[in-house]
Amino acid sequence: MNRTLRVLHVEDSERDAALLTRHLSRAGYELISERVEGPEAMRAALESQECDVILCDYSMPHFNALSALALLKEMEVDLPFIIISGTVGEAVAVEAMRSGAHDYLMKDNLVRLAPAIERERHEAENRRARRHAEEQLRGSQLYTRLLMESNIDALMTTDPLGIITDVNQPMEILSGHSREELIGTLFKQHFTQPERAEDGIRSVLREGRVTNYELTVRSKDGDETVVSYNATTFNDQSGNLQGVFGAARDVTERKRFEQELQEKNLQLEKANEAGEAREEALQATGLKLSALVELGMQLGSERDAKQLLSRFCSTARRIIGARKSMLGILSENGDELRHFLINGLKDAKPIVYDRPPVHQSVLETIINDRKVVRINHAEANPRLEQLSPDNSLINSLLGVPLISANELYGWLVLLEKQDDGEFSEEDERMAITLAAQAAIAYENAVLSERLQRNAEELDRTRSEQLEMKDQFISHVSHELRSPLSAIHQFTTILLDGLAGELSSEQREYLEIVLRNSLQLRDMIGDLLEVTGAQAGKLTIEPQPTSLCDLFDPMIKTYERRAAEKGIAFRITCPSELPLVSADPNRIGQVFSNLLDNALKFTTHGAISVSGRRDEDDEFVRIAVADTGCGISADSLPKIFDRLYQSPNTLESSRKGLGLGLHICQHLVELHGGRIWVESKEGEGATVFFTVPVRTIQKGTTNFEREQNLNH
Amino acid sequence: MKGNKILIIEDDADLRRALNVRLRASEYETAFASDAVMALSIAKKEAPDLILLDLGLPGGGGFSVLERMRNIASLACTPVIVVSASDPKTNEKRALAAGAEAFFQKPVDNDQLMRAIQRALLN
Repeated sequence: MNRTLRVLHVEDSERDAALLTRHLSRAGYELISERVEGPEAMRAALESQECDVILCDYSMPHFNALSALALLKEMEVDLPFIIISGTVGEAVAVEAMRSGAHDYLMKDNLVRLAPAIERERHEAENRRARRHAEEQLRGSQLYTRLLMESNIDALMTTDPLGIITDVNQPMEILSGHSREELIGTLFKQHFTQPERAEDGIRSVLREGRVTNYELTVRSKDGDETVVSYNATTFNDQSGNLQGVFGAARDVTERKRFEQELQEKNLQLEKANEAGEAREEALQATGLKLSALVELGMQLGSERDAKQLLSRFCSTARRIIGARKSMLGILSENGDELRHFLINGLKDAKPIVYDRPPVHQSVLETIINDRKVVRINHAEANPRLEQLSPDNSLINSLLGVPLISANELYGWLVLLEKQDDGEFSEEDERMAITLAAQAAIAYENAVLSERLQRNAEELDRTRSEQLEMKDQFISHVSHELRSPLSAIHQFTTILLDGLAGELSSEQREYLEIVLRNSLQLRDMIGDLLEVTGAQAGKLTIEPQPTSLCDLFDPMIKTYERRAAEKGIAFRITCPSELPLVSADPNRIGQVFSNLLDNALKFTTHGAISVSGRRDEDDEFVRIAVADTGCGISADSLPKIFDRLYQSPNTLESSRKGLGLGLHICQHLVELHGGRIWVESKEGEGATVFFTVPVRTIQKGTTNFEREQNLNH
Repeated sequence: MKGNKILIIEDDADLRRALNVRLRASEYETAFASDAVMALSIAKKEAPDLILLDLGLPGGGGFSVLERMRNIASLACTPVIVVSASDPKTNEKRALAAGAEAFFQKPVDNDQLMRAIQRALLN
């Protein structure tokens, strides 16, 4: 027993309080006591310190025991409260006890005080302990509820008989019933299969738990939800069975997903089965398909119609599996066969047919009706008699028209399915596909052939026309030359005095005739030349050539002509000009043409000819410069054009055909050289051209010469 | 050389005449033929020292005359100079290959022609 006793005296008399203390001390308590007289002091004392017992005077001048009890209650303090009074009747005592006092003692009889305190102290201890336990229980109940409510699963507890004792909100929602409605009802009544629900509870009771136990909840409104239960039994602290705790999870979605999955699996299985069944067919047709694709590509690229047909005829037979195939291509009016092919005959030697060895009615069906003919069991079909191209017996036939975009090109007839089998519907479809492909390819090939023929014809016509033009020009130039020749001859005869003396005036006029006839001769020559150049017939025969040797005699002629016009003529030619690779006639022609032009456009000053090695040493560069009228900047780019005529032609000379420089350019370029002109209007012009140096210097040609041909 | 006989085979009468004037002025004797058929018989009869031959002849081309002449012993060595309106690029080589001494395109340069005649007669 705890001997320390903390006492709160609610007592107006200090003497009385001391009396009680003395009494208690004598009883063996170590006292810690305090005395208060009014409610405020009492409250303060209770709040500031703990005490074990309150000894309260029943009546005080400003306070009393009942008020003190009320204050205790208000302060929610549970302490042994013993009233000590001097004069108290029975009725007052009963009332005080009702108000919460634990005992009532007379001041003059305190014998019961110590036992009463001891008893009450113990009682208060018990009360406190109970209160504490209750609080704990309340807390744990709250905790449990919170746990239950915070769970997203629908939770439920039942007693061992299956009567619902608690649920959480998800269960309310699931069932459509409120908690109050649910508690006290039978668990099983909320499911579509009550027996199964009951079985579930039995399992839990037997096994201690069940997991993933599926049940379907039927709600108040009749909605059904598939849930999966995990359930356990639960016991009280002593281990006595209290009931069953179940957590249900909505698995409707999962169920549906599972079902879908199952259905899909089923479909897959079926598909697989079908797939397996098809596999064989695919394998069987795999070859056909690849052959088909191959044929498509082959036919697509085949531009030769006959080749194409032959390929098609044999491929179709192989793909469909027939012993023989025949292909007929109709003429454009459809009356007769343009092509006829047979594939698969054992006899290699070709058989010539007047008409295809196919029964007329079969062909008519294919051609006229544009229909497929498929015949198996020939013995039952008189149309197949005498049909075999090699007189062997036929048991089956498959014939399709070759149609592209409604155009019928012909027919394909397959004879005798391999292994004495029958032509199937699939064969028929395959044949139609093949025939359509072939028809398109054939159409393309025919079009392409036609196009090519047209193009060739055009080419031929064009080259014929060109040839005719060439011939015409050649003929004209030939015919012009004869009268020109006569004019020239008689003019020279007269000028040479072979027909008597001429007056100076006569001579002058005849020289004009001569000059014109020569000009005409040159024009005719140019005409022929340019025609040949255009037709690509202009050729050169390059040989090692010394340009000095080539030009020397020509220069002499031009020197004379320049002198006649009063123009100086200068030559600058280094002694060691290398041999060039040139056709002497052609380069001579270029050179004289340039000198002719220089003379033609120069009235005074000089004509200078120079030759030198080009910078890169690969060409010899010849320059013909004059001091004539020059070429305008506008005209410069055009002067090598065909039919270009200088607007500056002197009145005394006639315009040419405009072919000279054009031909020169052509000839120089044929040699691999270059020709160009530099000029300023009014300041003369210089034409340059290059001729390639002969690459292999064979021997040495000494043409060392020191020439100064200036005169 | 002067006095040598030259056969002019030419279908154009004016040209024949012009050549005749030109050759006679150089004191050559002349003979004429105007087609391929005549050409051979006259050549055989006249036995010229040199022949001027046109290629575009009626009754067969000048080439056939040239070739047949080469097969006639008396004419096989007679020098022939072709004077033709045709393109030398197409015919010159052929003519030289067939045994002609030279090829001239009409209208001919008289100086050149006379030099060629002299040269041919010298050989």
